[in-house]
Amino acid sequence: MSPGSVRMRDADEDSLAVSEEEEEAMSGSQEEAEDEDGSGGSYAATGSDSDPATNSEDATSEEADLGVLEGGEAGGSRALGYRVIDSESLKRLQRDAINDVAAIWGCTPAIAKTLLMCYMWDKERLLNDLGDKGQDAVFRAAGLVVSDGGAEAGSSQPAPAEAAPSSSGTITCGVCMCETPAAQCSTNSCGHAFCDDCWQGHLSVQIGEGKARHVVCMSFKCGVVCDETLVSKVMKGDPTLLEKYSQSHLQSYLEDNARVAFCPSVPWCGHAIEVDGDPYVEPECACGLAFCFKCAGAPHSPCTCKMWDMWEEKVNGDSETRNWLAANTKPCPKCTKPVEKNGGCNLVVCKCGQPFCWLCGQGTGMQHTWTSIANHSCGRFKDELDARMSEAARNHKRYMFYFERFKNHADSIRKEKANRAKLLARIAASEHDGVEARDYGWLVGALDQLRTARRVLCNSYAFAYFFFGGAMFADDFTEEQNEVNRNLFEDNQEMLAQEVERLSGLADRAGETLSLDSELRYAVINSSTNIATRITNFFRLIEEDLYARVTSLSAQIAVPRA
Amino acid sequence: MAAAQAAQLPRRIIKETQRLLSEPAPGISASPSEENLRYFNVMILGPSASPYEGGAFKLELFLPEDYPMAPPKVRFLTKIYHPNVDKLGRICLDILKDKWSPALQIRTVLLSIQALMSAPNPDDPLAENVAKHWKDNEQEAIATAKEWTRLYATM
Repeated sequence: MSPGSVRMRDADEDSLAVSEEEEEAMSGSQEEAEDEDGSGGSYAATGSDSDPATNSEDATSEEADLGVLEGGEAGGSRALGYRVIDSESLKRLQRDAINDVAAIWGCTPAIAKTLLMCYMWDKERLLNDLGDKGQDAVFRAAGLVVSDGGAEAGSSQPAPAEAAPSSSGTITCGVCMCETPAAQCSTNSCGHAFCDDCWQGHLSVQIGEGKARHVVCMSFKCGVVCDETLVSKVMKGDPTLLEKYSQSHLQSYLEDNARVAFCPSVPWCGHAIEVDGDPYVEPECACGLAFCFKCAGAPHSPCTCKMWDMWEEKVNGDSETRNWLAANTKPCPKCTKPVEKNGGCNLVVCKCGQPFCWLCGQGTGMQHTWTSIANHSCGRFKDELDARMSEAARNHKRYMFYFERFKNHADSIRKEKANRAKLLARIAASEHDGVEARDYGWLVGALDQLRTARRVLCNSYAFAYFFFGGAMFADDFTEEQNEVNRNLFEDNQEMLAQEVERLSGLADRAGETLSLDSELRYAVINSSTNIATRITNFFRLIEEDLYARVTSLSAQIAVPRA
Repeated sequence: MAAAQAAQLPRRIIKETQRLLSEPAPGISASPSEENLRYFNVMILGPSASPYEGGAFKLELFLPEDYPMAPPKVRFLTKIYHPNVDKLGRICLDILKDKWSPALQIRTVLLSIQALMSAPNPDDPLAENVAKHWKDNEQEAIATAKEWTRLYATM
């Protein structure tokens, strides 16, 4: 249920707690009632300081959600390519990353953490640099003690502080210039000793200024990071600041990490997403919000981030005005300005002086009566109309064509989202109370597939608007190529749309009765498999036949994992 | 009044002040103000073999509340033509900013400023136009610096 990669990441000491978590997640809602006892306790043990009961419930429902998501991917064999991070898993993921590096390079976890923070948690780059540039160079850059000769990197595990001071038993602190008993002094891993009061003052200022992730020794030009043993020793009188220090280190995994992005929900749900590597992913957060990892906008594949940005601007910029204009005006065939009919007969005269027929929008002469315009007959010239309309008017028409279809699917997504939530609740209830085992995994999977497909379909109209015609790819394709491409694209789009409507109907039927009728079930499963295949084919066409031929930009998009 | 203030002053500042007064660094004098013992009136003599030779430059130095955890604030009061000093007398010196270490002292800071006068660094400028002048025509820039020294820094 849980992705393989997560399981593998959970090294040694953690495995017990994790397997319990997984069990909990797998058994899903049935176990929720028993959360108060044993299994819930395991969360509290690894958990934060908040209420253990709510904590464990949250975590359970989240893990279950994740499970549902993955179950939804047909076959379930391919990983999602991302995972949701909450305050619990953050600690675990960070520790795993640290332990990984510590194990591979044979250094202490504290050193691994300093290195990783310095390398923005890019493990591969860090290990490459350690290999290529050598340990000394990397350590020096990260503010770690460079070991001399045979001494192990572990030298940053400081020798007992008492060992460093002189035999007289006091040290003259180089900062406050006071004679201080050695017991009240501390030595950083670089060997520089100062009195605890000065260390504390230094750390307070540095942490207060938000530099908690890289506090260096007080000695001039030393540059060695204050090790955590030192920090926790001298800061123990100020738990608030010490907490700020460790929180900052924890948050570093999210804030400094190129593979992590915060969920863009407003108000923020408190989650972040970590991708496995490929940033072109459209993850769904535990809060239910799906977004593009790269640009944090709504999921927009097969549009590129740039296309989506332009589309959003076009759609949201003045959609109200645009809709009103579309409903109440017609573009002048000469100057393309929108013209509103303020009464009178069907001959309308634009401000620019061009008369045209209100019924068909075609330019005419001025001679007319109430019932007819001289030398003009609507309908007979209808076919030529498009060709005669000016470029701008055609573009507007083109936009409205795609926008209306885009909007229809977007509306469907919104409606289906509400229905989906209700249905999922009923499924959960039904799975819970039945005597015989009921498995609605097929239906949940179908709903997920449906949602993915709707989104792809919806966005494909925005894609088509930019890709077939318009200025964006004007230099990449000839008219004929464009025509061929568009036909291919529309064929695929239509095939997907048909299957989506079919599955939508089937899922509705299955959802109404929650029947386990095998015929209906097979139909649903078949249809979702069909959709998966069609999405794959659709994207293969888009990636290999369309984007791949574009030379003006390198388009990268998220591909739904079918 | 100064005595009452001194009682609240960190020991380190008192020690530094005493030492600055008893063993001043060559070419540098620094004495605390009567009203505020954290405020120092500083005088640096232009280093020999520099365009500032023969000049006496007044500076102000202030020790903020966080000192020595935070760097002192130093500013030229005398006009000076130098690529690392701007019109307002502010100084571009790494140890006054991110390279500050609590182990540094007033004395070391002032010595560093003196060294900066001997070796201007037009690659890391605060005064863009002066730095450009310095790079395009060093001879002429030095002449201007000498002229300014004569005009503004000689008693």
